[in-house]
Amino acid sequence: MLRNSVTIGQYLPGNSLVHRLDPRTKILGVLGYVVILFLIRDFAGYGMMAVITVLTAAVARLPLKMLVRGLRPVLFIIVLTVTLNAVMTPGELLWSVGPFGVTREGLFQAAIMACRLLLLIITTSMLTLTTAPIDLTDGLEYLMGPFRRIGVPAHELAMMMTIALRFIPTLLDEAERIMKAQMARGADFQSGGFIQRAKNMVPLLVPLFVSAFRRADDLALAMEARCYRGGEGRSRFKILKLGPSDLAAGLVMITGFFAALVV
Amino acid sequence: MPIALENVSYTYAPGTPWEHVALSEVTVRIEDGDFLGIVGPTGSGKSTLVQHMNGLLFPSDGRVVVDGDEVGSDRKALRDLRRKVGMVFQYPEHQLFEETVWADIAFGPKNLDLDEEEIARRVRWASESVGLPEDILERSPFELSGGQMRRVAIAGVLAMQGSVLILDEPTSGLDPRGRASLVEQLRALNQAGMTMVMVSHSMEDMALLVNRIVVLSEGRVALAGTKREVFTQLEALETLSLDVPRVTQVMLRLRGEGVPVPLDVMTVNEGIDALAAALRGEKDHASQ
Ligand SMILES: Nc1ncnc2c1ncn2[C@@H]1O[C@H](COP(=O)(O)OP(=O)(O)O)[C@@H](O)[C@H]1O
Ligand SMILES: [Mg+2]
Repeated sequence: MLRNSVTIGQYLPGNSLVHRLDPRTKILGVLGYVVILFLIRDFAGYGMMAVITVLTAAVARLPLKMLVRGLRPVLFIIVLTVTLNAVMTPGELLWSVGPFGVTREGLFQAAIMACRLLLLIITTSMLTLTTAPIDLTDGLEYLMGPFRRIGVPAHELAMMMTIALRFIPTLLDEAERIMKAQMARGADFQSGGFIQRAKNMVPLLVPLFVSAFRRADDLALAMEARCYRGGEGRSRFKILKLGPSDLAAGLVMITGFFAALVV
Repeated sequence: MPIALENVSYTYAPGTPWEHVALSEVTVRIEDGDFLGIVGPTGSGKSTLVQHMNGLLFPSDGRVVVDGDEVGSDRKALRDLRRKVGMVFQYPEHQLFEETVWADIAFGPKNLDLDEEEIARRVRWASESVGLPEDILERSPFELSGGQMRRVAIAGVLAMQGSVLILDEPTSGLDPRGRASLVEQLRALNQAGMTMVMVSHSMEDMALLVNRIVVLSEGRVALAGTKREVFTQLEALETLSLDVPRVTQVMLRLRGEGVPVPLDVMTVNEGIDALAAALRGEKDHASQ
């Protein structure tokens, strides 16, 4: 099932400590995590980062198996990046395959990229898994607030993000249904060369686009019918409040990040 | 080409937090020429069930046997199966994609590698079967009304010319006239020898079309039998919050008032006859 294999953008309701954290804490935490991921270049550091991820997953009661399964749809990108890094990096040649040479530096670079991508994807999907989309947007909007003065449409951006997140599963379901319907008419999405396969996608992509636009239209109409006109003067149902657990979580994260940087 | 589902269970997303048992131990048999109706509340597993009949889903447990062969993952056998068992999904108009109605209906036959002449013949036959006017064939499917798009989509599956046709809620969202004519066309196809399976919420459509009914509830078969057997089990249907056709309801009320009418009345015409017979009987009784 398409829908269930993609964990990015899904929310798994729960009542763990991580679920109850303020969305801003979690967003800043993930942001910090990503920055650190790209700062460090040694495996002890990545090990430390992995420990942070695994501990957070345990506290949030997210099964690791599910997180790993969520990698499947992006596996291709990971493999491609790792391979390219392995063969494109100049340096001391270890062995060569045809015109390509795998270098010591290339292998190192590839391993670094693999660690980064894996941790990046797992950790960001943990953010959406433990945060309701509405909280996520509220948090984003709040965090982008200061940039409004320089013309950043904070509310609109946040709203767009929520809607996009909200519709990922819907579109995946839709894609699966259309795919099955065309398969029932003899369409083949699996065989053929690259060009043939791309051509075979037309019966899937056209209806999918049509339905996405239709949904967008319906949604816009429904929002306008309820007098939505952007963030100006809009009041909030839920006010974000930082609590002691946010302070604690923040301290733990900062300690973890420092540890990853210095080991 | 009989289709038999034997103790079929199906679980969505096993081993994840989204795990959901959609079917448990469902046994259903469809004979040649049958018109089987599948009813049940939303989420009871109707769509999941019918997708087993042409190999779009495979049972987590149990087996599906078509024409004596168990449905497996062999690619060629699957292609064959899907050719013989046509499937019209819920809201099939969402699957249209070609530039013209003609091309969209021809998509299936083209995948069967037929020659141009045969394709043209099938497109014409399919569009006539669902009552599409000739001048529509050259138009874009996206400029048609919802009802016409639905017909185009059904024609697209019919053009495969399988021996079995499965329809998932084919009449939902149609206006009463469109619904009545589609019901007529489906009946005609069945009478011409096509085996049909229809999922529907509408007991009225069931009463008009099918000969056997399977009632699903929470993924299990709650009731099964001929249309009359099922519709006379009023208490059981009520506990599942399913209606019986309106005529049957009228008969029920009349019975409550002491008029001796039968309960297994499905259509308005049968109702009129039954009522007339009952009244005549009363008159005879009085004059004796
Ligand atoms: N792709 C899917 N992934 C997970 N659960 C699903 C999926 N499709 C359907 N379900 C669930 O399976 C159950 C039966 O669904 P379905 O067969 O569509 O019921 P019906 O057609 O009777 O309304 C529902 O509870 C539904 O939420
Ligand atoms: Mg359904």
